[in-house]
Amino acid sequence: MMMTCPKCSRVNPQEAVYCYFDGFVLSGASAGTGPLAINTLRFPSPFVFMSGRSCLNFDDLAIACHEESKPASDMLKQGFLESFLASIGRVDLSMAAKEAAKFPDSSRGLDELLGKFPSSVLSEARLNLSSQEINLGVLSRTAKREIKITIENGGMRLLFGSITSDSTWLAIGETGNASVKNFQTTGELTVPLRIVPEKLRASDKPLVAKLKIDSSGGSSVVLIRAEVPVAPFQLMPLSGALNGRQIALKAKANTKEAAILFENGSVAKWYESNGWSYPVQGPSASGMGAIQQFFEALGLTPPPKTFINQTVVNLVGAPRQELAFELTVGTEEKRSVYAHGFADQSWITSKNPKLTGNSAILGFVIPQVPDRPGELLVSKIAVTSNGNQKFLVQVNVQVSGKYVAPRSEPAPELVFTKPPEVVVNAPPPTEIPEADDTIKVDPKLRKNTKGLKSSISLVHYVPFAGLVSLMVILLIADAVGVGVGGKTEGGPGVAKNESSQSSFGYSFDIDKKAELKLDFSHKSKSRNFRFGLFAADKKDPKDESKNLRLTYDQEGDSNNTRIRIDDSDYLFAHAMKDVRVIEDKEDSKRRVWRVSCDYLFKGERIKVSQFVQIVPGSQSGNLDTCIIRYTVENKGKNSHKIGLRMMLDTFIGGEDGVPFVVPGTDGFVTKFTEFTQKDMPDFIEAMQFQNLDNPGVIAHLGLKGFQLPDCEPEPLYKLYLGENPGSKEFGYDAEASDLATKTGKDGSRFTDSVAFLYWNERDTNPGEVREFVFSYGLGEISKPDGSSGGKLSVTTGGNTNAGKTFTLTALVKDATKGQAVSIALPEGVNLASGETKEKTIVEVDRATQMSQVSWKVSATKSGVYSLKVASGQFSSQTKVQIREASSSLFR
Amino acid sequence: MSFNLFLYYCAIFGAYAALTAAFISRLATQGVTNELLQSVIDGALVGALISFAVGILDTVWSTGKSDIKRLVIRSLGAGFVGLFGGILGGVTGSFIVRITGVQFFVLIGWTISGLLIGLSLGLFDLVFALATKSPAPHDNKIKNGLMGGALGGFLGGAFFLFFKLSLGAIFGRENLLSASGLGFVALGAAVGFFIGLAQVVLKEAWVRVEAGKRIGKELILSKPETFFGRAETCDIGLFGDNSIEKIHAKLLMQKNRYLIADAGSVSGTFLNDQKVTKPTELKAGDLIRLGSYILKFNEKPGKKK
Repeated sequence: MMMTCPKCSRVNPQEAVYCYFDGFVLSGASAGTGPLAINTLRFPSPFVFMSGRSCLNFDDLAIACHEESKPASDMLKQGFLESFLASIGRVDLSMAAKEAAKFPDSSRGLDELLGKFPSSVLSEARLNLSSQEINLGVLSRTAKREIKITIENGGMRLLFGSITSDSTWLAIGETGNASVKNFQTTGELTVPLRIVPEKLRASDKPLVAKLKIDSSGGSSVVLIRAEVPVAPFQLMPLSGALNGRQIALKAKANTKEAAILFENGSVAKWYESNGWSYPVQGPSASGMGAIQQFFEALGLTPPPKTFINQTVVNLVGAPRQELAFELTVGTEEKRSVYAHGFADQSWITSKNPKLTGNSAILGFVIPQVPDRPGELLVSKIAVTSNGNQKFLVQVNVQVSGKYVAPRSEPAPELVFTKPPEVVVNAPPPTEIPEADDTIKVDPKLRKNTKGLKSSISLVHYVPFAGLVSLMVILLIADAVGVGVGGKTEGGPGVAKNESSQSSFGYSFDIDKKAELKLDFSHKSKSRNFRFGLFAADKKDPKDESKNLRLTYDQEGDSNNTRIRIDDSDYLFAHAMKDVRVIEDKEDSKRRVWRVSCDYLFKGERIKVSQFVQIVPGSQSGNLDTCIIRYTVENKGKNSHKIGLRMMLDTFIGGEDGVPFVVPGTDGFVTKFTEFTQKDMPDFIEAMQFQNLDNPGVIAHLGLKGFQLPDCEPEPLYKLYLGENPGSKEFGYDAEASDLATKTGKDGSRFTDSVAFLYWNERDTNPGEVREFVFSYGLGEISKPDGSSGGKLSVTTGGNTNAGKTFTLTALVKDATKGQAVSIALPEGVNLASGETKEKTIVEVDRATQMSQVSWKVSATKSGVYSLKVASGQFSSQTKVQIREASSSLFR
Repeated sequence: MSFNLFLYYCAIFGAYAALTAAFISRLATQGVTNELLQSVIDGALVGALISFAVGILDTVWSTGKSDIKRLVIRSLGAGFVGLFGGILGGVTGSFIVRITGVQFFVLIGWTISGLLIGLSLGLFDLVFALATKSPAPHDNKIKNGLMGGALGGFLGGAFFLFFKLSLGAIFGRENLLSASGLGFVALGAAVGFFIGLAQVVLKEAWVRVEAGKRIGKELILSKPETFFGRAETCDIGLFGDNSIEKIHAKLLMQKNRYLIADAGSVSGTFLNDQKVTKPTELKAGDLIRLGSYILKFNEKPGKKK
């Protein structure tokens, strides 16, 4: 409930003890007494300035704010005063402080607040002027003059207001022609005033300008007086005239001589020299017309009623052709006629009018018809004649479609002298609009702000051009293979200088010579859509008529792939009832081949695609690796149990039964071995010769770590390495007994090795797409350096992207069981969890005297790293390129 | 600055900011293999820089003054909000793509990022107003920013995907500088443009300088009080005319009504040639004259009263 002061009837907050306005006590024992001296009432807690000045009451606070106005303004802006006033219960003053803080001018804001304080210790602002009248004496229209007035604040509050000059010849300020100036001061202020000579008007009476000062401390007027005598006309026969009427009288007496002075502008200049406006508007007429023009302008004689010969002019002309036409303004009275006209289009120019007594001929020229063939150009000509009589003439120019060469070219067929076709009987012109004194926005002002195109000037195109340039630079950078944050030494994900193509997201130089090639059985044999791998430039060391192969059959005829769908087995791409090959597409340029099959099973459709391509090896960068990808899509409406098995009949440089290097195992795999998903190695390698100095062909079977941008391959479920019985076309499930039965020449060792790769046979949901990937191609081992003596070499495989784990395998020749092999890693490369730097040889292959030790390692950043292994006195090192793997949303 | 120019610069500022984010992110995430962390860094940079850049432009445009302190605070505040928006969008989008395996769903992430970047300007104004206990901004600013940002994020994301796939096919590899650069530029330009477009298209009332030194400048009315005068702190600075006071007039927004009031000027404020002596309601097309300046008040047709 608000409390109303019984004395002043003003409303106070409920908690008010006394009236905030007059100090009348509102509650408590002293209610009804007072008034209290609020200004000296002690605050519950003092308000302390940052300077340490302590204010105990409103008087103290007001004086402190006056004397330390800058800190006070800052505290007002920062809300300290607002919160202080709220804390002492003066919500009204706190709100006032909040409003005052919003003032753009902090001094004004502070003054507003001080005005609301219940204190009269600060006297109100009072306007005092140094003088009320200034007499400048005689002024010249050619000399500049400056004066000053002083405004003094007779009070303590802020004096603010404005100074207004009512005369154009008296400007406020040192520069410009301002007639109004705002001011504010707590002390004294000097205001410069400036006489604007060109605005002085000569007169036989003194000029008086009023300088009005309105302020918070009152208003006042300063009178500025000056005299500007009239300069008499100097030339005969009008000499001595002191005003227009005297000029007219003298001209009437000597018309012929006077006409010359009007015609040549002497009279107009005399008017101007005295600061007067010449009454004749527009160009001066000639002869008697000039005198009549002056008389009419002074209102000494009425103008004759004039007419114009036409209000519409129709012209036809070719682009760049010159056209000319005339308008005649006349009168039926025996009076001189003068007239002039201006076109609103820049392509029409006007000539000096010919005055011939009671008519005036206005000539207009179109020097070059604008080069806008086929358009109808329209212009308006405003003609003004005696007594400001106006005519509006519309000019229509039909630009013909035929191009006319410029006049300077000697083209005889051009007709520049052809007179314009003038059509007199044309539609009437638009009437001249009446003057309108309301606010109108000049359309010209809007001209440059209409539409995006016109509103963006050239300078605004600069940032856009910069952006486009940057984009072009990026495109060029990509074209030449420059990247940020990655090496460009070739391999998957990195392009070199030439054009590149992708599949699996890999990129490479397709024109590069491939070391490994694909061949397909469907070309010449049984059309079973199998593939083989061979090195075209190398011959089988045991059969010079054949290429060096990585698969037993160059066209892959001894390989096969089987699909199992709900316990039914199918040979991949083997056409039969309910199985059809729907795509067989080879792109020899990109060394890629795709085969897709539809398996129609119980009315359901399963699509299986085989996609093979020769790509660069992840470390070598050479086109020496084949990626094999199977995509299984359940296009039916029900879930189906689907698995896939690929049998690869390996063949390494004429050898069909070489031992396999399998990282993670103790020695070499020379007989049937099964690997499950849990112990699946990153890769398997086999060397043609078990000689580290000359390993011959190295086959590299990649099993894990494929990071393809467009697919998430399922891990390999099972791997068999075994002996190929040869006489049997294996079914989906290769029997271990079959794979292990045949005994080679070297006892139990392989004589014809095969690899069976299985992907999990599991329920595949409708719409689900499964991806199976492995690679097969040429591998490489580090060349034993001088210190290794041909006894130690290194090979790598797996996912060599940053942050991923790959395998490094040391191959040791002529080692003994228990021999230590250690690895040295550079900064940024770390051993995987559970690995130790030093390992011992567990097994030595008796036949080849070869051993192997493997480590799982990873690198955190991209780059090329040297990894070194050592055993006894021997050491060997290899370089591994680590690349970025990115799949951020924003990449 | 006209609306057209404002839109143009919204797109340009957004594009440059996004491009800068792309480059910084590339450098900052070198060696970072954690996809989530990459998305966080990318999203944070994109969100913060676009919001910051558009915040600068919006501040300069909407207040028309060179109050550096306010400019910096507002832009940094917007950038801060945008930073979280970018992170949220980036992480969400990455997560959805990872779960579904459908690349198209990156658009969800982009849309969320754009939406929160669009929100950043209005949200900062709201937070600032609450913190300083000053009048809250019109809620249209937040709504328009949300709509514009979401649309810009979606279309920018679509452009991004287009560039990524098409340039990837042309160059035959992933992670291209140009695809990333063009994609980011498209995203930034789209987000910036649509945030600006939403402000412009969905504006309810605005004034345009029809005559005077700053001819063509337009200002959307989104504050309870809009000040005109020659003080630099005014929302529309009317410079070069000494007959105009530092605070000459103010335009008040009260319950969907707009009123013009003179702020005690000497030369006066005129509405359609009539001197304004008390707060007077404006209607579309009204001309306000202050000294040599003429401002035209415009209002969206059919606006609720």
